[in-house]
Amino acid sequence: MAGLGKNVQTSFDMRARMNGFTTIDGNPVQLWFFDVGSSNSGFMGDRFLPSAHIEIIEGELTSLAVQNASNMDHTIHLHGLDVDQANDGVATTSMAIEPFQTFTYQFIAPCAGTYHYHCHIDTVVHYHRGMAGAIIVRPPGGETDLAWVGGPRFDEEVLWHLSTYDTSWESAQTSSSVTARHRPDIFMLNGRTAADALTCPFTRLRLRVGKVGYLRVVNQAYQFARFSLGGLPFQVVATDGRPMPEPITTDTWEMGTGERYDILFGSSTPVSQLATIEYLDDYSRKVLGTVSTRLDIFAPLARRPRNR
Amino acid sequence: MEESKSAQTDFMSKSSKNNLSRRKFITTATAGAAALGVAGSQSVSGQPKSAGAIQRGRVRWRFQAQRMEDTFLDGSTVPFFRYVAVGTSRSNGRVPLMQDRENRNVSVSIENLVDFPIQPTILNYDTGPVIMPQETGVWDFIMPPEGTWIFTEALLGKFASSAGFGAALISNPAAGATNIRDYYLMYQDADDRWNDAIDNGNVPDESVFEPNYHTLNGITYPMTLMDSSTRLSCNLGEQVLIRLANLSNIRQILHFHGYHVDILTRDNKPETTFPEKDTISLEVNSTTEVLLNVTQTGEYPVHPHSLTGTTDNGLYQGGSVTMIDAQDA
Repeated sequence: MAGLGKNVQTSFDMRARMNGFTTIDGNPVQLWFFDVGSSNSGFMGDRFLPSAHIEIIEGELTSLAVQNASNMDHTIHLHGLDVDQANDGVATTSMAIEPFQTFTYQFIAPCAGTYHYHCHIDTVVHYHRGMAGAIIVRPPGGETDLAWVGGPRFDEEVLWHLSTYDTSWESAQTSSSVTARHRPDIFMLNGRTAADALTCPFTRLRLRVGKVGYLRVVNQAYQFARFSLGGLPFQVVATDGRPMPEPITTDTWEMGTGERYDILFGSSTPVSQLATIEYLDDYSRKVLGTVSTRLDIFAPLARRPRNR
Repeated sequence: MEESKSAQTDFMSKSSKNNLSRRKFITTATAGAAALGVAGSQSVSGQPKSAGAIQRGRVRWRFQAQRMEDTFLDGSTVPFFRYVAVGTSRSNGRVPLMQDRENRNVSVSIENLVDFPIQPTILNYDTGPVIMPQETGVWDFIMPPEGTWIFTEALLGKFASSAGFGAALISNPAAGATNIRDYYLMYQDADDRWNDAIDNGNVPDESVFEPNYHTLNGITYPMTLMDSSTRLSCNLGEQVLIRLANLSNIRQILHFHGYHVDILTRDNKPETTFPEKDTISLEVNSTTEVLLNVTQTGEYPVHPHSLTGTTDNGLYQGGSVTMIDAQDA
């Protein structure tokens, strides 16, 4: 399940972190992210960018105790969860979590589906740097192989968190004319680029022939993104935490910043190819950059007869 | 604005609690706000039905095309070229508002005070006469089919939206009673390099558009929180029709805090592809009508999730951020 379904809870301890650097494509990148529990890192407890994802249960009272372990204000905006104003994570209408303070967000988890969260302080900078993650709401009971009650069951599940990075913003601690235009030069999938994304175990799509794969896609990039499974048709079955009125079968899909789409995929014959995300220029719609990962739908190995 | 506010207060008191479901809307609507019964007797922000003077049975609106300079939160100043309502004609924020019933004969008179010719146009509908500098042109036209329309300028082509030329056009059904509150939100983004070029009499570099300003009904945050055309005031239990117009060269991706909304139409055609969404794509030079079911009180931002949508030349918070202000009924 590519790191998913292991930690479905109703209560989380999270931390806002701003410490140190990592290197992406040889570029030093400041680490601004949220971690969960004792992972001490971001996505899947394996890397710092993007922030850690969380999995919660529809209809359950959920609490996120967020400790601000940095020297700058932060919040968590629960993007798409339609929480009340007090828990909306906007400094001017809710509240900011001051340095080294803790605030607990409480809300009833909405319909099962894919959501997003991010810091809403000086958002353009905090969001760009990586203070954003995915939220998966599991159906009542917390089943991890069911999209929603009455929805599709699946055998494998993968989360794709799309993001880009403009290294010319690296000196910016706050928004200003320096951040007037976003010209990304790093194009990521689950925080990985190019070769690292190809075989990333949390990212690649691996499925047996005849089985059902479920792909959750969250776009954090400041660009529209177009993704494909190398020509393999797939079904768009949900968006923004709601089932589509009718699934759409297609082989490519575009999504904007903050949108989420849930995809069903599979094949009755073996497939081995690349799945690709293209980040598009807002105006020309030309491809600014791409990142790919492997898509392998394979036949089960034939059982060898036992030797007696 | 005071006049507009008092009109809205009056309108709010008349708003009914229409519980029309999205499915019912889709099955009964031919386009736009028809099934919601938005008629000519009320209008956006509670303004009277014909935002202009009636002469000899024909509604007439009067605009000027003006050059102006806007100063933003970061201190930067950018030239814009806008339609401005004059006389008894009404504004929606800072953009003129035209609202009447479909198929009515209407007329718009535009005094061109900018130093280049202009040609008014209604996107996807019709185009008026060329009006030379320092001249006044009159365009007689028939109100388009009911729905939400964008009035802009044709000669500047794709530069017109960045320059600032925009006006709201709402065509109400020929008959029916007002029973729902509605707002018209016109999103425009501007690349100051394009506007400077136009201001200097040059042709902007068409190959690159990287907007760094974003306006909503011609104004920016925090004015958007105070203007009755952009602050989405509503009451618990109410349904609100929000008419979204993306007059721009790039798609916008609009996020609603606290709410999912039903997408009713795109370019006045019923939209049935998507479920309710909290983040919706607004296509270039396109209108989208959404229905907000007010289910919780409080203040919830509404903003494009783009960089430009929340900043003024990069400085957060600015741009076209506005707010749902939902009160107890």
